Amino acid sequence: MRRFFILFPLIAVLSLVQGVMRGIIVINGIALVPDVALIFLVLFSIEFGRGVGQSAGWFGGILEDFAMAKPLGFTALVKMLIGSTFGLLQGRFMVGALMIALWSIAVATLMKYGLSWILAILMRIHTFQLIPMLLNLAIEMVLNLLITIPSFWITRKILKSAADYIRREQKI
Amino acid sequence: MLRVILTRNNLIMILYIALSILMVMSRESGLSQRITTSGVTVLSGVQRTMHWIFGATESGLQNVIEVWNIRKHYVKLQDKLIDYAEYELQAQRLEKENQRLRMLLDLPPAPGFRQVIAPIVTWDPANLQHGFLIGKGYHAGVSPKMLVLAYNSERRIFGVIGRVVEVFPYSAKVVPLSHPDSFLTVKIEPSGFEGLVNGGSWSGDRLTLRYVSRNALSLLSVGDMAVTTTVRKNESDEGLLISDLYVGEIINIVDNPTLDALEVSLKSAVNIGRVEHVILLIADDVAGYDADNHLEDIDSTKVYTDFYQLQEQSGLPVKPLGSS
Repeated sequence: MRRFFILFPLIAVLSLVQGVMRGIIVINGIALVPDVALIFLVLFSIEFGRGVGQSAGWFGGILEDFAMAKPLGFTALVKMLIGSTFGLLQGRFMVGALMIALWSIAVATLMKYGLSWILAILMRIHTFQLIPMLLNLAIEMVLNLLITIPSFWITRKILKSAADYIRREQKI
Repeated sequence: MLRVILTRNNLIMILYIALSILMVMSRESGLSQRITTSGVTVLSGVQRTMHWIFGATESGLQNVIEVWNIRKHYVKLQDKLIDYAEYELQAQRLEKENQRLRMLLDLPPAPGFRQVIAPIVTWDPANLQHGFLIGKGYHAGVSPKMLVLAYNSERRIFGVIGRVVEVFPYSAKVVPLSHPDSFLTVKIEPSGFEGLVNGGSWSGDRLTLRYVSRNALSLLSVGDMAVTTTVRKNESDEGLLISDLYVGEIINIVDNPTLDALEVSLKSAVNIGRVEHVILLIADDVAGYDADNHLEDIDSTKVYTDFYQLQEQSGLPVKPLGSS
């Protein structure tokens, strides 16, 4: 539960901010904003596990839907599935290697768009079109990979601080 | 098997999926619409504010960049303006120089003489009588006691203004006629009386002509011209004095009974205060050629040749004159 409250506020804030920014930084109908919430969700899910990952993903997704006027629960479902998937990797991967983080983010971005496409078809949501979606995917992939490098460094700092805090609390 | 499937995490996940599907399916319902609308309403306000901030920042940055560019242009234009001011000054100087040079180009030729034009390099600004330096010396053929002339473009005449007193390799010192130690014999035209120009006014445009015979009083008149003469030249002045060059014009004749001769005031032919270039006349080799002596040489040679021929024809031995 403590881990959830470390991750959730971070993802909540990021979801709201990027939801707002997506409406502002737009060139030729394409939002030039990376999905920072997704990056932190993936990195923290690998570290904290499935339970924290899926809960933080779902609540963060709800806020993102709220901010971006999407059908409520749609992004929540996608992010929850991503958080859950990468949470399964807990203990199998170390978040210490940058290349693993980059690969994870690339896979997560593809997964986000793939799941969105499948769920949109299943739920008969006709707001998603293939070509603009692929264009968005390409741009977001590049931006996400670029942002992963500083995010990776920040994640390590937060995790180290959190570990120190927990250790100190346990000693008391 | 059921225990493996119904873990806590799986149950929560199923709950989330169910909730999500429920929410998506009921997206057309009033509650979902209201939540979405309220979200859009709240966040669109934030978006508008941020958009305005971004827009203001962008326009502010554009303005700063524009001001920066204008400032760069302004600095460049200022530099150009300074350059143009310098060019204008140079153009003015060149124009003045052109005028002066054009005036020198208009000089009439003096047959038999080579005209050496020399700029006045330094003046004694305190006293024009003290003399000046000209920018030509003995490398240009200048020698001491030479007459120094200037051209009066208004009257279109050459006028003597002084004499060379000292010569250096590339410069020479000139003493003007108005100097108290300067002496030049002149002849008054048309009467032909002679006198000695000695000194004059401080400004150099008035000269004093002394020792003019009292007999000339009735023959002289204001407006007569004083010109140089070679009648009373010394041997050292050979080739340096040139006759019939204008010196000045009579403006006043003073018959002072206490003096044994007339004293005449002359107005200098050239206003020395306005002179920038002077002219020195150097006799050409042809002009300096002594024709009489040359003819004598030819004649004597011819006489000797004829004498030897006659000696040969008469059978006498050929013996040059003067040989023993």
